[in-house]
Amino acid sequence: MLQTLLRVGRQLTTAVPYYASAAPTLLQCSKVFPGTCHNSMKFGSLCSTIAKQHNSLLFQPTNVPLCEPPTRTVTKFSLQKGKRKTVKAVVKRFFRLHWGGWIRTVAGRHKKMWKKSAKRRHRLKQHLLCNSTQSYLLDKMVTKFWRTPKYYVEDPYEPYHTREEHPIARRKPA
Amino acid sequence: MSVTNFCKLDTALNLLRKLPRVTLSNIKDNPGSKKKPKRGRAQHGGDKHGAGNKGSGQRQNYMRLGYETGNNPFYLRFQMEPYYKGHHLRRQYPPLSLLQLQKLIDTSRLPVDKPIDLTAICNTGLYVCKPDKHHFGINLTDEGADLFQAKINIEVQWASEQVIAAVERNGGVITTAYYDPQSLWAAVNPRRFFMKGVPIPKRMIPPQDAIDYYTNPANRGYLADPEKVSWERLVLSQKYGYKLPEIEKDPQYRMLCERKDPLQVFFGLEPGWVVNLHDRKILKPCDEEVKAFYNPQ
Repeated sequence: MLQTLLRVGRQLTTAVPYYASAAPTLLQCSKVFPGTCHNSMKFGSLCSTIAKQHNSLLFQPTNVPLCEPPTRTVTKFSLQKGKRKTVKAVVKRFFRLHWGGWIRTVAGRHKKMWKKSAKRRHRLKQHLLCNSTQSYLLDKMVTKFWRTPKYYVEDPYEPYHTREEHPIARRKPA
Repeated sequence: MSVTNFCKLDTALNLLRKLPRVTLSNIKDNPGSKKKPKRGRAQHGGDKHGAGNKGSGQRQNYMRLGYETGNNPFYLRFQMEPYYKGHHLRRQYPPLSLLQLQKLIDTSRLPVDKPIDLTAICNTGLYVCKPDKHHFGINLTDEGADLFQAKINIEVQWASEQVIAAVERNGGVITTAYYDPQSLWAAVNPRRFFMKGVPIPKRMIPPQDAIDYYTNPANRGYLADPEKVSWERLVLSQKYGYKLPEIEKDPQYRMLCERKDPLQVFFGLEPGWVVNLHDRKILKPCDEEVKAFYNPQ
């Protein structure tokens, strides 16, 4: 009896490190089986059978969110400091040029390559500019950090950060 | 004034004496000073209250940014691309063009008879370097290289081959030097640094991924062998087809040869010294251990 109890105890403790303490797991067990007592053999055996059958029941306390669920919406006021937050999905997919344009890849650029012509496959490798409405949206979805220019050396996007060669878009001379 | 009025005043004053002090937490607006906004109910007053006609605008349940009512949203439509991968580790060098540098010299904002470094350029107030924004100093760019005519001894943090050629063609000298963030804070605003009253730090060696750049004589790195640098000067002059001016015969030879020690942050000041701006004094360490820390032999 003692051995089974000890074994169960060990199982529980091994399960513990993922969560704050063993207490909620034990409590949950007693909730699921209200007739059982902690010291009885019944509890131990039941617990071990449960551990064998439904590992997840012991391991996962219900109603307690373990981590923040993933969200892709823009956070306008964070919990801690009340600040705006970046939508990370935007930064992972788009790149902002210094003049305010955003570039992106092409959808389906690795899919069904067998039926696409060489010319089309070449076009899929290019990066495209977003239009004005899309750029305006993306600007709103990121914070000031991403909107400030980044001055990297040996930057492959360096020629595209300014539009000095276009007479209408040029900024210099002011 | 009647007696009763006096009595009332007296009791009021007595009450005031016993009451707590008037503070922001216990004062109230004057009665009638605040007017609550009214929601009109009449023919035009009770119209739409600025919320528009019909739909989510009227109900003021605006959709979240980027949501397209069930479509695959534009901002999630494309595959991920590592555009910003490792951005928090990459060093930034805000650019300064040769044209801007020439303008600074022509407008007497930079002295030509002294070595020019990051501190001198930041002191013009026309170049901004922010160490907290991961900036690591000046990237001298080649814009206006053909117009550049000054003969200078300049120290920057990054320079391309064209820039080096443009400076050396005029008989000048260029060095690329690394400043670690702590030294950079001191270098970009010496006044603020001296006000802190702490010793001038010693400049750290570049990080692993920058050491190749700063030991390369082709980049005029400050850790490169001077012999090899002079050889590279000759090589570059032949590549770009100009006659390398002999700085040995230059009247400003001493100025052109002046370089900072790899540990030094400011010209004329050594690491470990404390500058007292108030008393206009420089305090130098006497303790042998402190000296050994700041100037390891």
